[in-house]
Amino acid sequence: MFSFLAQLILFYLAVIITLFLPGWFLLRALPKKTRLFSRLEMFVLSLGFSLAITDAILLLLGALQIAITRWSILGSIAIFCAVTGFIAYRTRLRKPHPELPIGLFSRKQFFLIVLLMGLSLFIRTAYLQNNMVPSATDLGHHMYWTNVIVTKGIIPNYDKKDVAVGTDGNYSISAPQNISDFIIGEHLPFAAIALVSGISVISWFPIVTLLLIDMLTVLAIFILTLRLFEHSPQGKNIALAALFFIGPVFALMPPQAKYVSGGVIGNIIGNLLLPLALYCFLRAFKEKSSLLATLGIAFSMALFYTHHLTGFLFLFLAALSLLIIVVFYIRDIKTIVTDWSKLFFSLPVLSFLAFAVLFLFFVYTPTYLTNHAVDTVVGGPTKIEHTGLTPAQFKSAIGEPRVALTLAGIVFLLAIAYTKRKKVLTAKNKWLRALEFVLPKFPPGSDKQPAYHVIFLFSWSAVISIISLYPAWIKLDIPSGRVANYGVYPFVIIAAAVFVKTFSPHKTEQGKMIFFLKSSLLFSTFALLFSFMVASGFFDNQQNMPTATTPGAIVQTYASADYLSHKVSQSDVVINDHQNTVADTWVKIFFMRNYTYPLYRATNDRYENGIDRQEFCTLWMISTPDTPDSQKCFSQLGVDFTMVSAKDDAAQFQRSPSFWQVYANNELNIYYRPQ
Amino acid sequence: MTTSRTIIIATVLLFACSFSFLAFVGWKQQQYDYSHSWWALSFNNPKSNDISFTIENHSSETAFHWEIFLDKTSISHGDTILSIGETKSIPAIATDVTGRTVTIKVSTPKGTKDIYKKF
Repeated sequence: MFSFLAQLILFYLAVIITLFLPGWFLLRALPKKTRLFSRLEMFVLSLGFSLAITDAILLLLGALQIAITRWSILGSIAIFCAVTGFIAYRTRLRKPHPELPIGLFSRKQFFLIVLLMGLSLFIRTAYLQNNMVPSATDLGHHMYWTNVIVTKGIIPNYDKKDVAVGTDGNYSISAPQNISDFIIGEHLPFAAIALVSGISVISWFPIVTLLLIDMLTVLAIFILTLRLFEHSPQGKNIALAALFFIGPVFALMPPQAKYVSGGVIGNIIGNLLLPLALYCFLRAFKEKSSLLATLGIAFSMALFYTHHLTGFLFLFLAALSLLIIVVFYIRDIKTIVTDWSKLFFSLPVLSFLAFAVLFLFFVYTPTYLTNHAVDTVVGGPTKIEHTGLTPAQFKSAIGEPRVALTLAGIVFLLAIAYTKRKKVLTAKNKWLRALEFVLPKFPPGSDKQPAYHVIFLFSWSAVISIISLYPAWIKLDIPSGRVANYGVYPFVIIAAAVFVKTFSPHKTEQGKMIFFLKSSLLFSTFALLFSFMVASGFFDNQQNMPTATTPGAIVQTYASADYLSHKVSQSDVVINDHQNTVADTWVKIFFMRNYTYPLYRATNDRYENGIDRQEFCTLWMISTPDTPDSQKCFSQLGVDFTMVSAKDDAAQFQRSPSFWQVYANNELNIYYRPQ
Repeated sequence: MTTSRTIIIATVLLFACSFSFLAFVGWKQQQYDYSHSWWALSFNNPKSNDISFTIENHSSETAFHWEIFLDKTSISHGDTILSIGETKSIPAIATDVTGRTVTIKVSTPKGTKDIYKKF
């Protein structure tokens, strides 16, 4: 118990040092005449920036050939905090500035925020308590690379050795081949926490860290919504509704708790960085602040060092936003371009861009650029799961009530645009004005400044919808389901706006407060919609809740891997199984030899689709170990140890005269094949 | 009005409760003895002719009976008591094994496991 308490305290200290302090000091050091952020914004942004700063520090250590250790990390962060702390002291505000209005809430709003955060955490915690012994496939892969940094103190070179089939039909283990599936930002924060705290990567800490990032994303959506609707009288209520739609309801479906337990690290961090980048750009454009634009670019850079898929979405979002601005604001384009020039051709932005370019070329270039992997995601879908979702699948991925409310909002807006365009809306920019009817003009009274909040929200949801439903339109080859999961965030914000606007009074031209619905319909419609949202959201939570836990089976995989890792020599080659054993991807962490050591039998579809697996040795050696083909594979690849399920795959080995059964627990057997 | 400082304090407290609970659950479940449900049998030297073996107990069973067979003939046997979390190595020797199979069979009242080498 003492060891656990020590672990827990070290974990909290490591999180504060690596994921809070660097960002907090940086934000404190920003030049300012008045308070830039509310305390809540400061809290969320500090954690977001700390991710980026810790990544940058570790990459710099790697580039300088300094071993990445606990002390080099602590020393570097201490220097960074000391420098930024000194600047913060020099640039501090001389007199205390009160909290920003956006950071002030009524007591009811405060209790509602705490209640919603508590519920969100409670549901995620209830789900994750059944998944706390790590076994997820993706998380196992990621923790292998994290452990490379932890154990070797270097930035990993992402490569693997596969089974190669020669032209003569002989098999061999290939030379190392580059992998583009992993991006360094997925591993650096975990390596930093593991090194500073001393906790093993095979433990609870990766899942708890991912939960922290997921919950911060919930808060990031909250602060983004607050800023998106800053000028709306219902802004805080819309943010609260967004918190409700993203927090407790549909809390488990991807990309939330399911991705936390599944270890889909890139998506989870990307989901935090993208709203934070939008938050900074939104404020930068609105406030014409080159400093905030710099922060937005910094978040975008962190995004490209963490998850290229989110990075691509960000680029498409930016491109569509630009297109919308050019089309709808063509008359004001001169003013807009002038504003943008001042924003981007400024000292902070240009300095940071210069830093980013130097970093890219001299410190670290992401693997998907060095391996030219961008080519693999353009040119149209090649796999069935990349060809686009059906509308029903899309609806399931986002959550039915969120889609329903968003669609209702669109229909509502179109109806308003049709019936009232001459009366309420001017011909100029009528569609955007129509959107502004629900999403108010920003800032009020400004005709020449684009309604960035409307444009960002529209582009965000439109880009995700198009890539998920019709990827061939824009010649993309990425998993449609994964992209659809990103839609949760913009859809939640739009649905929240529609929901709150529908049931809030608004001022007529005569200054009278009226509701959109008749009073007789108001309460019943609200009750119906609210019940629909709650029932669907919690039903989805219940559907996703696991029924059985298998910590006993998982630790037996650990135990057998631990046994074998102490028995093998450098010349031994091991194969294990992905079909019938749990936590198989975690086995490689016990050996730490290569990403594909042990070799493994993949699921059957990987051999059948003609893309993922070009060899059958790994299939044959476990499924039919005694056939001549398999024996040839064993001999030529030098495989002499096999870890398989004791229940599903032991029989074929026990029948064979070629294998010794050298280890047995309730779940796994290990076989040795004397060469 | 409530400032966002109060929200941050409340949120951090909620985070701390949830994370500490999950960490404890994960730590506890990852202990090999947590489920009291399994034990393992293995050769000390899987690649050599040595047939010494180890019993690793993470179950509620304590009484283990072991027996060594040369092909189907029992050549040695014994009993050992292992409490939960305990591991015991049992030295064993077999002669004239060429072309034959040495099997170690270990049983408890609830089940049996075996490991073997085919020389």
